[in-house]
Amino acid sequence: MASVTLQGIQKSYSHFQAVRSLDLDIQDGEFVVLLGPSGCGKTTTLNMIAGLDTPTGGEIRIADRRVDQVPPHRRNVAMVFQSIALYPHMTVRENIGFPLRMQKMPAAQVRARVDQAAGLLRVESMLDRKPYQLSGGQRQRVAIGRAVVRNPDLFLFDEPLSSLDAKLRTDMRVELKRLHRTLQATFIYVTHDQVEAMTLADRIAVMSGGNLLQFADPDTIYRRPANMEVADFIGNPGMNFLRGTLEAHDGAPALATTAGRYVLPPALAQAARGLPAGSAAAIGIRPEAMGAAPLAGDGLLLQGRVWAVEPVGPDQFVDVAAGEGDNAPRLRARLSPERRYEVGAPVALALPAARLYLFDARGVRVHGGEEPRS
Amino acid sequence: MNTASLTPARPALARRGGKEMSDLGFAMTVIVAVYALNTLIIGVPLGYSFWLSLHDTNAILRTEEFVGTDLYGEVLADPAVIDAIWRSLGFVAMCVAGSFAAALGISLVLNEEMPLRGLVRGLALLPWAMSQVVTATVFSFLLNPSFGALTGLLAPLGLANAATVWLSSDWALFWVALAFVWHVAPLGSFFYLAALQTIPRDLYRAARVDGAGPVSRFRHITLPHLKHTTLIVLVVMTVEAVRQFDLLFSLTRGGPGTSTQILPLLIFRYNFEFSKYGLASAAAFLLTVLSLLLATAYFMLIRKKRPQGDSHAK
Repeated sequence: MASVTLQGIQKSYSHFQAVRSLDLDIQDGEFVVLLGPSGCGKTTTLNMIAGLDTPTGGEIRIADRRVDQVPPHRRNVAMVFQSIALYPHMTVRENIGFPLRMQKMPAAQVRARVDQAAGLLRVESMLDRKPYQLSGGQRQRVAIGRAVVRNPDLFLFDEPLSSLDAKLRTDMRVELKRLHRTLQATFIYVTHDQVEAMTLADRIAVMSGGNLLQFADPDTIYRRPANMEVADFIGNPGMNFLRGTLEAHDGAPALATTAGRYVLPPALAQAARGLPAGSAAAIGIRPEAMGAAPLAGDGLLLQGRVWAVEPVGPDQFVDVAAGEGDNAPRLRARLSPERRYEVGAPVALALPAARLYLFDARGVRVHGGEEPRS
Repeated sequence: MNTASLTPARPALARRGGKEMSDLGFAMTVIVAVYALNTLIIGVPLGYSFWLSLHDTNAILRTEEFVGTDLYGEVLADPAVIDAIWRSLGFVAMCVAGSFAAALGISLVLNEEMPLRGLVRGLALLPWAMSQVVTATVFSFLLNPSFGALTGLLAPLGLANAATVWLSSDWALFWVALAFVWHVAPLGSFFYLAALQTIPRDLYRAARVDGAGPVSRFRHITLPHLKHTTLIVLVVMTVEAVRQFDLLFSLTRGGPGTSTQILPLLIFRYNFEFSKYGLASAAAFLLTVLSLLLATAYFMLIRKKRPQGDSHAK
């Protein structure tokens, strides 16, 4: 059991800064997901916590012990790799027992611990097989077993499910969540899959370009994204933005866009008054918050043409071009599948005021997501 | 506009398409051609030398007399042949052990990150690219008692002087084996280097987190991974050593006395000095059997614990 503290962690290579001054405070028993696109520094961060990479600056503490110069095996951490990384010539039993044998644990004890870990991961029947005789999901379970057997303070997962097919990934996700409940250990989990992040994490650290964008629980990340980057990355698909310039229209703040001028509803207008007139801004709305016209209550009504339609079973994604020409802003709405939309046909979308966000020129959220979810 | 300009009539191509060879026809043609070529360049000489080994030939009278397996009996009864076989075995043992160890060592070094790694790797292969005659010349300079580099290096330490004969009857075979190692080890090291590069890096990282030190990582990850390559390296080295001729002929001509006269040299002498073609052929077949036996032995040894299939497929 351990808390993990990163203080001003940096990792730079000769021409490239992978991680820039990262601060993270992870609590004992927490399931934290490092989420971001590839190259955002999440795996480098995980490697530094594991001890496989040495930070070029800052401090790492595991269970209040400073470890940034301690070799990996003395940190009492276990890691599960994207490539699974089972030792190919060893049986499942030898694989799971390997870390214990490296600790020179007596054979009988190793046997007992391996049996226990194998039971937990349901791989008892495969102990005498070699990795190549296992399916992808079984291999990953063995790899997790090799981590569990050590009884570590901290589990590190580097995109462990990305080599599995979609169905298996969903099953393993549930298993991992249950495993976390059973072990009550600290989990740090790296992924670029936001669904994994949202479903697994107690808290998500969203990273981009070596920076931490936001560190909060999934609900907060989804409803109150710190900035446009997070809003865009989280959600499937991400948030829509109408970019433009703030100006006054008959005394009321409005957003002038290439698709026309939108007078801001009262709540957004109030937030916009705090921003300098003439500055860039963006209105944001999630695809699932939009509906077909008419608009009930406050909000914006957006006229446009259907650009593309993607049915996904329970819903359909309808891309709407607001305005003419290829450069017209496009918004993606997640609509119920009952109504058919023809590509090129005119369409009106309702954007309810309560679900609108406003972002300032730097992309920081200045309004939206305030109402607590019931 | 585009469609009109891009679709001119191409009757010539269209006609050819109709007479394409079938997949089976193509496969058969290629296979038959390869077999025919193999028969020509391997089968015919092999068959001829086997025929020779069953006949007593006289080069001057141009007579051939069928003698059955008599020549094999004669070869096996010839103390020079028996001596040469033992000498061959000793030479092969030195060569294979030396070049295996050197190949593995060199490849491990070349696999590390270092400045100018590509250049260093290229240079390391150079000894193998050289002709064996050149290698022999280099070593004869190196080992020359009066102006050789070895004497020059060791003389100031009092370990050698101008009277030290390196290619003495006791040590000549060793020095030739060393020249062999110098020449052949780079080839083996490139086999190993290729294999080393296929070891997934995550295995080493996993092992580091699991508490395996450098020695354990070498033992539990690197070595098992090199097993198949080791079989190839051992077979190639053995075959090279068993049939070794150039180095010995250039460096010692089998001497001093017969101290470096291994089987291929003896066969050469039978053939070209004594014109005993049948005897030479029979001895050559013995050599082939010897190579086969050694290769089979390696194969059995390594195959015992061979993992099947791709053991770390994702």
